[in-house]
Amino acid sequence: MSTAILPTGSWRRRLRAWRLTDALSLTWLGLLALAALALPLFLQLDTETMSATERLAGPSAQHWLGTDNYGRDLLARALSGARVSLLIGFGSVAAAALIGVPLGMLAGYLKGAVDAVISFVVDVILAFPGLVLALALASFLGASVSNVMIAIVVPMTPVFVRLAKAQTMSVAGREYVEASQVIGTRTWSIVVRDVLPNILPAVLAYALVSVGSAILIEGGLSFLGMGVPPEQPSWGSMINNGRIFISEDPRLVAVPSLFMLLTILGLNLIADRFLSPSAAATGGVR
Amino acid sequence: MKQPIFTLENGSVRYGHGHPDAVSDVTVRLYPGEILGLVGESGCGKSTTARAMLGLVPLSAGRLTLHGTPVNPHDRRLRAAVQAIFQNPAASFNPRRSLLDSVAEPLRVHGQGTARQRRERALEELDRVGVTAQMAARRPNEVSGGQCQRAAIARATILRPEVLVCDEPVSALDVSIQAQILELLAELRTEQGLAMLFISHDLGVVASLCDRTAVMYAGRMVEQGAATEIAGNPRHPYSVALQDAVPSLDLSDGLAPRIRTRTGADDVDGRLLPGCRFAALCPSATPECTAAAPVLAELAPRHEVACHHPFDPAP
Amino acid sequence: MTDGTLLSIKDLVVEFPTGAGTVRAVDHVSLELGYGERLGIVGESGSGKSVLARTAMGLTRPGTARISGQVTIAGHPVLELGERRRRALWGREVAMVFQDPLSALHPITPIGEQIAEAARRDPRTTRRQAAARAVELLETVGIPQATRRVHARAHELSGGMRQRVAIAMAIACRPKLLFADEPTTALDVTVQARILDLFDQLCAEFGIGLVMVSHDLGVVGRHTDHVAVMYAGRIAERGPVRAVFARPSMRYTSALMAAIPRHRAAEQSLPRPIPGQPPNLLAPPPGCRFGPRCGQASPRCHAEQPPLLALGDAPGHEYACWHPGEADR
Repeated sequence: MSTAILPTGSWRRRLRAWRLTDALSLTWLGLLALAALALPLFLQLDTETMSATERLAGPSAQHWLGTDNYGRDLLARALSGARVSLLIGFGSVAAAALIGVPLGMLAGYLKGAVDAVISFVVDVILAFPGLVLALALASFLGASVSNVMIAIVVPMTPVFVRLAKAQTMSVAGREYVEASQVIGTRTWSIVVRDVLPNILPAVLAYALVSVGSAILIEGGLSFLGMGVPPEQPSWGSMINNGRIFISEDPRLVAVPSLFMLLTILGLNLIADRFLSPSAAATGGVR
Repeated sequence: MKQPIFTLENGSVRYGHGHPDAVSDVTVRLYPGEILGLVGESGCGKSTTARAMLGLVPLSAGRLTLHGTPVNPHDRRLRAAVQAIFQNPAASFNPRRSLLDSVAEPLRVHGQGTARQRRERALEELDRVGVTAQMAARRPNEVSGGQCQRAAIARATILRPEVLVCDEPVSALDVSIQAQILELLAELRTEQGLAMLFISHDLGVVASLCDRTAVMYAGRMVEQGAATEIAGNPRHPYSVALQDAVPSLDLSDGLAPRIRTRTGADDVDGRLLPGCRFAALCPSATPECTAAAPVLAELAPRHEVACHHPFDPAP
Repeated sequence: MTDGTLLSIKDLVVEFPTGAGTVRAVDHVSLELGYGERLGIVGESGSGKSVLARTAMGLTRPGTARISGQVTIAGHPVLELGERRRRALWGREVAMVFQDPLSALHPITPIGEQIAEAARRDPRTTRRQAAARAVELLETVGIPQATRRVHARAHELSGGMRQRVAIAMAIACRPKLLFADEPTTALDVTVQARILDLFDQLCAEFGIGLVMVSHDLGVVGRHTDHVAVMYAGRIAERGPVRAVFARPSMRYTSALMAAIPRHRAAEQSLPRPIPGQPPNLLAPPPGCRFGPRCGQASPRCHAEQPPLLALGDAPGHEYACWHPGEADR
């Protein structure tokens, strides 16, 4: 009974392979966060100084990744852009999850009228094209970091509601929830103690993937000039700026694109870890 | 005559409109110090009966009584007095909490003692059912099914309930472990004078543990009596067919089937028949059986059968 | 090609490497089965009965397990065959019926087509013949109105009917050997009885050899000729069913029989539990694997592994125990 006989050879190898990509992803995200958040505390990232003589300069000791068409340091701008991207990515997902997950759990556990109302609102918001909503918000409210976040949070929240609802419904049918009902545990206590911890891995995995999409949406909006104001460097606006020079110097587009790609890939790989069978058994990251 | 502690009176359960009743007009009476076994095959309504008695599904008709007075399923009295053990040992514990935490939980819910006292009590209770402190610190998926089911018993008895509802508590266990759990339940009945409802699909388990046996078929109770009486002298044709079907370790040829059910009616849903629900399969069915549903009637003292033509062992 | 034995397993060892060490699920097991004979392999979870059957059929992938020993089915050395030739055996020489028929059946393909497809594993069968065979097979396994039922889908059938369809698929190419891994465990007893009768009928009618894996001694008792009781990867006892049931000699066998509740006993008695738990296969006890749970164990039992010894009275009745005898029931 206690000896589970599993064909574990390949399983273990896969786990080890995962750990390498996990480590790489975590290292990249860690370095990026450190550079974007901690570095400015010690030295001023010079993102603005223009130089007529150093326009479109290649990498050098002074400018590690070279300069853009105004002679501004690309690395400094990319790291500064990382701040905006990470802030918008994590911030908007956190907001969407904090609003969406409790609503979804209520709908999934209580069912009935509560579910009907919440699900209706969710369906209405989901029927609204997200990009149009974001564009409308940006053009009415103007371009700013908080408006970009609102534009991302509004269409993202319903997805968290749905995810949390589906997960809650599956957990609520399990025997341990019934066991809690039988001993007389109050509903809110069951939701907090029995349901929430058991839907969290799935929610976290989805949240990480969503951070990636939020960063992409921010990039898209900024690229369209509807996102972060142009004076604030972001990966999207950098790509927009470099677009004109793509044939002369693809570096201007490549650098922010690469930052974006690595970041989103890293987030997705870590999210997979939460969804892998071993994680399901042990409850996510140990 | 003793007073039953906990009863389901003429209970019916229906899952959604347009479906036939999952359980129709079933009466279950539980007495202190007595185990009532409820047997039947999948879909016969035995688990639904248990769930209705636990207040996990609403009754569409009938009522629950505790000490002779009606209770509604959300009554706090019920929650302290009636506890349950489920089929799947590991699944009946929150996978993210230690067994000890889960066993102490009923005390917390009912506001008894300090955290430390609750822990002590839980360890005591676990020790009594044979779970060591070392095991208790583990999570449900880190211990064997037998250990988990012991912990489930500790959780169910820690409030000193009067009634224990066990829904297939040994079905997921190997026979050697199953016998351990049966022994433990038998001890509980004797020591704590618990009234138990014991649901099982296994006739052997019910025959060896229970004091009384009730047989369910297609949502109805078809036979009820002393466990030895049902094991030795079943009178409803379905009970006989069920007993015949259980493979016996006794290979002597005297155990040939006593009843041959009609073939070709396997897919008939008995719930939809107007009369006796077993009529389509029953070899002794007559027009009377398809016209009117038989009711439980006493054939012998404390032996009730719902059949127009009860099986006669010596015709 | 054939030498009288249908299935021969010699000194089979199956090991699974795990993160915590190596689990030896099958530990030096040898078995033989003649044409048309029926063998029951009985044991509790983790006894290795299922792994044994799957490995014998060639289903255990070498990538996941270390396998040594020999398996021969109707003259074919199963373990030495390459993937393609092994697959060619499946269906035509040997087939398997699983516990859960729903997972063995395709959810939307009509069952008739699935059976016909199974029949077409024999390259001599034409499409038309296969379709006719599907109807014939459904009748053989006792599904009424076969010509109509060929169009049914798996989810429209009851559990027992599904298992009948799975059996029809398994015997479609008239294999000589059928493995059945807990074929009735998911079914109700009344349905189980009818499926077991069907196995009896098929074995008698077509001379199919049967290996039935089960946790239930009772199931094996009336529906096989020989029984092998497994414990912790080893054979504890084996022999003709009646001999083993009448005189269980290895202490585990007798303890197991005493642990099974009796449903027709004249007097009520609780089954006798076996103390403790099955051993952890990552660190099995030395000597007899049952030693730590056995009431009769002596120092010798904890030191020396008992070999399979022949019991005088019935040919083929062997047990692995230093202190044989029936447990005091």
